[in-house]
Amino acid sequence: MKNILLLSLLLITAQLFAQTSTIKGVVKDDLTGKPVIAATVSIPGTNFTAATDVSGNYVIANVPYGKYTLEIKDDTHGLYTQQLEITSPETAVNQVAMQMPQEELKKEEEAERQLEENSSTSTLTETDLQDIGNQSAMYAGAQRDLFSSTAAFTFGRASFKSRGYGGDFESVYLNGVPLNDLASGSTPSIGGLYSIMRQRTGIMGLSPSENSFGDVGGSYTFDNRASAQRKGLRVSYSVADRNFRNRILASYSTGILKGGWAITASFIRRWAQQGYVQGTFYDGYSYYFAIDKKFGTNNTLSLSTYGNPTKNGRAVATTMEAYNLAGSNYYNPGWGYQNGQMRNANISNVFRPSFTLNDEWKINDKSKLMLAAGFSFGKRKSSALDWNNAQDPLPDYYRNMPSYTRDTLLKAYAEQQFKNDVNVRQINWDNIYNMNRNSYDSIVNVDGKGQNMRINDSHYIIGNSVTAQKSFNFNTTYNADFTTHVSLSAGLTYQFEQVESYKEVADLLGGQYYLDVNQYAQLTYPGNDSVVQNNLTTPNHLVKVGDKYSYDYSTTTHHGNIWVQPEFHYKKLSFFFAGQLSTTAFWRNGLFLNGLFPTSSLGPSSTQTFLDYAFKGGLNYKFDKRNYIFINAGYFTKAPSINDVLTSPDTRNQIVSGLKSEQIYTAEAGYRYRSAMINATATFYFTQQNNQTQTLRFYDDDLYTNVNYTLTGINTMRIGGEGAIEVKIYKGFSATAVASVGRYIYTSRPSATITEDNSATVVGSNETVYWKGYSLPNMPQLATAFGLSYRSPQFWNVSANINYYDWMWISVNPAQRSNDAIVNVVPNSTTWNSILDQKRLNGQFVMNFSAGYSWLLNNDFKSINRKHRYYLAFNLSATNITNNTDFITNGREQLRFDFRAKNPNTYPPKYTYMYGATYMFTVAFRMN
Amino acid sequence: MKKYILNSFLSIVFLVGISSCVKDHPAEPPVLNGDPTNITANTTIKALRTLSPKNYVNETVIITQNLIISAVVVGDDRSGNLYKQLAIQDSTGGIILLLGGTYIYTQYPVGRRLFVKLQGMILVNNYGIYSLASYIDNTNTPQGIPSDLFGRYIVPGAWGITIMPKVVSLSKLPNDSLQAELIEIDNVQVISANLTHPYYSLKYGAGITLESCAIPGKTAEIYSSKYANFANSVVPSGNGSVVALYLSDYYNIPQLTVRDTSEISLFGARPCD
Repeated sequence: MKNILLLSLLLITAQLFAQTSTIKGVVKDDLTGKPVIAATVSIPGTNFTAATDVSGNYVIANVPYGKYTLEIKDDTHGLYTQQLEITSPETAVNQVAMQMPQEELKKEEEAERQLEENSSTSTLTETDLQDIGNQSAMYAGAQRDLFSSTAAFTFGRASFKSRGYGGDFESVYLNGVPLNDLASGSTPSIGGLYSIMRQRTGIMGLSPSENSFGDVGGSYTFDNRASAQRKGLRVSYSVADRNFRNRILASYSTGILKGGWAITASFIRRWAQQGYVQGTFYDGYSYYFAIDKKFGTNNTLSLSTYGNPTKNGRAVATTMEAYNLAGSNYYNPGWGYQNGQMRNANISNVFRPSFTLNDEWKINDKSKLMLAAGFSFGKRKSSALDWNNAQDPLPDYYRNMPSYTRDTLLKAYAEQQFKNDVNVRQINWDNIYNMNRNSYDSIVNVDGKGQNMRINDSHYIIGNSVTAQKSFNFNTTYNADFTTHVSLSAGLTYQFEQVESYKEVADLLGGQYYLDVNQYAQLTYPGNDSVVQNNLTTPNHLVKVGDKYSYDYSTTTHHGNIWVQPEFHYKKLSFFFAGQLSTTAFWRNGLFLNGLFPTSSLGPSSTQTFLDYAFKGGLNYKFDKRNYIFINAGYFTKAPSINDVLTSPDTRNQIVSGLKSEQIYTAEAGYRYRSAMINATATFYFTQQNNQTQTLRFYDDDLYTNVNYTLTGINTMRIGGEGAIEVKIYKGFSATAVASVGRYIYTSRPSATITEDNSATVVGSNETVYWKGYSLPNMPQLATAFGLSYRSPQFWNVSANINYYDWMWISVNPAQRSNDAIVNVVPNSTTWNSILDQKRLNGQFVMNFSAGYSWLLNNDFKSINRKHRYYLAFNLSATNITNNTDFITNGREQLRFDFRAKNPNTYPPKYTYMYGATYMFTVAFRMN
Repeated sequence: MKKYILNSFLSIVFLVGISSCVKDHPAEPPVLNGDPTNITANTTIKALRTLSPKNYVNETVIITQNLIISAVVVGDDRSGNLYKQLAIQDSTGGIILLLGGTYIYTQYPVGRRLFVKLQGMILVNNYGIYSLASYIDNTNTPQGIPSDLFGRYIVPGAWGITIMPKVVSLSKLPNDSLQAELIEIDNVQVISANLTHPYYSLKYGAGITLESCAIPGKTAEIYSSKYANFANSVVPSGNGSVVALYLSDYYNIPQLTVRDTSEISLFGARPCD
């Protein structure tokens, strides 16, 4: 879009006059001092017009001598006029400093509010989003594109994924540093730092970006450098009834100071004693601090650090039976009363401070070089109940549920009890303490030191699953305009990531020790003292709070890539090509000598290396100022991630055999229309992704072991269209309609390698998983929105929208789509269908409303210093105002299957519902 | 004016922000170890047996009265030798309590007092061997209390009550009235034919025969489950005493089951070989 404006410049009528002049000038933003790119510069009543380039410069040639009014127009800044008298062959116009009008500030504020809203109303917290790699929801609004901004704001809450892509299809850069984690493909949470993330560029799909090669789904680039921040102070307080109930924010930027310095500091706290769901809480801090120094006119050196220490008590998904008995779709089995107060077993605690160092060097008017380095480290801890030689204490464990009882009368009692007794419906912490305090065991050869002890060891503890990460990223990009028609972007990236994964005792719950042995191996190999050891170097290890137990290993990934992208721009047509070459290497390093796998658990695994490449290209044709079309296509190969190729990462170095990079073929074509009244867009896409590898894990309590399904040869196809139209109906009224209609399906029968954590024998290899034709789960493949908004010239606005979502399916369990699952079942019988069918979720309507008012204090308080503008802004947003509590946004089949009874309901699926009606109200004070 | 607005807004925001802390988890619950005060026994195990006086195969009696017994656990599932059941005992006798759960010992271990509310439960009498069941399933098998309903029938009390085994002479066995009670038999040894056997093996079967040195020819059988964590341990070879649960008799031979191998104190010389 930008490129077109940028390079469709200079439409000059070649009239011969006796004396003409060339007008030159530059347009910059008043506050940031940054060049205003692609502003239209024209002389009304004539055909003289030009657009500013990347540096804000414009040139208009052959203007006859005379007096004119120069008009400078830009989407974000509005209109600016300047009187001009031309009397010489070269006319230099004074630098034009454009101010953002209040209207535009409002829009920004609104975008920020919507970002915040998305993260606060999703039933998934930011950490969950990160888990499932749903970047779109986190970074919604990065794009200025009509479809994606509207879609991501409103659809994000419903687990919508643009084009059905996950986070590993989008690359994210902050201050030039790549953010994507190599092992998970997802990006670390930005923790609500939305107020400083305004300078963002989102590239949808395959279109060219000057900052990176991008990915299948596009790229997001955030420029949070201090010099990119709007000068001013912002303080706000919000009250809500969502994941958090309170939020305070304070943000200050100096703008560019004398001497070329710029400083930004931002702080946010979000908290809730109890969030929307019972038993959940939230306590998150975020900070961002950045400092820039301009050296001369060509170099800007930037340093930034940010992080968001966040602790939150999470809600866990459960079964339909449990929701129905509890009488609420927001039933959360993960908490219970301890000493009369609520306690949540599932707490996530994340802190990953990051640092970036960045230098932007404007080599000359035509080219620049960006160098960026980033370092981040930190831990992510997720707690859960853990136990040794004891029964699963969770209230929704299937054997603790009324449906497990066969006797009708007792089942009725159990249901009654589940409904009425909170200590049955929730975790009974007091009972757990009681059991732990009265548990005594005689342990021989404690810690392998030969001593025998009789000790008080806990049956139940709280254990943290910890991932401790260190990553280093280096990135450089080069941009050059060779001629007015040819430009080039190129870059080089190196990423290093090391993640140590282990379990850590968080709370002994009344006991004094916990015995670190593999209780499942104990059952499989009774009496064998060595196989039960999680770590043979300290057998019969008695662990206390803070100690590592169960497993400990690290994974290391190196990744490097180089890319180049020439772009060609002509009056009507522009086109580009891009190519990328990348290499990836990874391995596991075991830190525990596992008793079951003494030869393959400790030390490094074999190193896996992959060489990958990607090509893309496309063209853009502009019929006139209002209409253009584009078409892009690409071919990518991608290395698998280490998390998906280790068959049993907790216990051993084994890597699934026959690994290959996945291949992706993708194409997209679209049409854009833009006039004063109507803004419309439509895009069609097709993506075939072949040969994916994925590892799924679950605990099988019949086998008493973790079972791992490593699937290779997963092929998927995504095809569909997306479109949006915005019509300015009358004065401030506008209407928007947005739709995304796609089909995302599995197109192959993957092959499964099945391993158990407690057995060296491969349980199954090359087992066919009958996934072909099933739908990709847990995203609405059909999403539509219709919205109306009114924006008053008196600085208030209201908007409302209604959304409809459909074509949603839950995930499919590979064990249930295997030969073993249907052996001896009559084909096409009810049982057959109940085993094989993929459950489709009901379509749902959701309505949202928002209103805002921005009060310019200078207008009403004349005594106020005119040097600054002071605002008080009020915003109310109400989501799901009809309180639709039946919207399932996530459904997962358990990964186990009852092969004996052939009953898919023995281990029923677990669901998560979208929140009902919620609100958030914000008061913000702002000084510019 | 400007300063006033700014300052008051800033102060409110930060006062709110700083004064609110989010509690992570509550204090530990107080240590509880005692019997509940709101429940008392109104019958005994011995009296319970009179509800089904005759000896039939699996005679079942649904207990309709509001009967409560108070008994102490003498056998649990810690070693895996008992499965989905407890042996409980009061001053009048013992009985097997069937429970539909595993790792029951974590909450009802040996030494814990249980008040069992019997109304609605089923007394099973299998040729004089009594157990308490929750329901009879469709294969006519008595089933234990479902794990989520333990609390409906069982009110647990004090932990760590020591029950001394009743010292019984082999000559006084079999004795149905000792069923599910903890007994001690002195001056016995494993017969020489079983000496190198484990407590359970596929090869030799489930039984180990004890012989009395005091009364030649008098024997008892120790039965162990293959799931017991000591199933593979070889029986000790000396003479001494055995503490075990008395189960029943099989063709007049008393049947015992071991709680823990530490209670098989057969380390003396074998005087009666």
